[in-house]
Amino acid sequence: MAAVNFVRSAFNGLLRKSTTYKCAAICRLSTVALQQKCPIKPITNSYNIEHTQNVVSLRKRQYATGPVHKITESEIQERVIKVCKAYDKLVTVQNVKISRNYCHAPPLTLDLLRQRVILVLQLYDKINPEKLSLDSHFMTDLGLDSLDHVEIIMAMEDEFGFEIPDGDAERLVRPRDIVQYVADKEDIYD
Amino acid sequence: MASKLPKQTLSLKQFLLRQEVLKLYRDIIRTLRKVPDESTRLELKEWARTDFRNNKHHSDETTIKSMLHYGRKSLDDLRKSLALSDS
Repeated sequence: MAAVNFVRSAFNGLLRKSTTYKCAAICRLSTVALQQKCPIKPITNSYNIEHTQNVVSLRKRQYATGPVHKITESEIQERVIKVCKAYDKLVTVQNVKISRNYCHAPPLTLDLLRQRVILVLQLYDKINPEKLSLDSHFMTDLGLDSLDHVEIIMAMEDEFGFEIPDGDAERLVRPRDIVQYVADKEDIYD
Repeated sequence: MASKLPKQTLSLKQFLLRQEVLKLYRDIIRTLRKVPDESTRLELKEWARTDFRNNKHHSDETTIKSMLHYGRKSLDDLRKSLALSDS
């Protein structure tokens, strides 16, 4: 209330003194006064000050109390979905349910394991696929050297997703050994 | 590099050197996995492979050690550039 009176009187005084720069002066003083007493934005919105022909009149006052109506959860959901739909990268947002899917690795049987090991070995360019069997020794039967051996073991690490330490890797000299090792690590018993 | 046929036994020094070389090769391949670009990764792998194979035949200890040193230095450079590109 005091602020309003202060502002009013300031306006009147300024109107008489500064006729050319009416707007600027009034604005400045009003903002200073308002800043001192209250935050600018709600007040400037609420006090719709009309400036017509040297008459400054306060048109209307608007006060807002708390939230007008309580927001319900369904309303929140609708609004979220609406925003999601508006986003162009989401193709269909029909029923946005929060669902989490976790999946384990594909079930690994001993047979599948064997097939995967043989497949990786066949893909290796230095191995002759015809000579390859589960029991062929890398160095003596397939003619590979230790560098190739390292590469093969690394390929197995990539395939099965776990690291094989150096000490263990040394002992794996046949595909059958590799199958056995991975089965031990992954607990496959059939 | 001393001969790698399992029939021939190596002296302890040779054996240890051989293990060093293999460990270095393994570390290089592991570090190369982290390279983000697919074609660069394959290129670097091929490069490492050919380098190791071309120098396979050395049997002189000093030569092998200097090659090892060069390899380790290259691996350090690779790790540093990977760390830089990540940050």
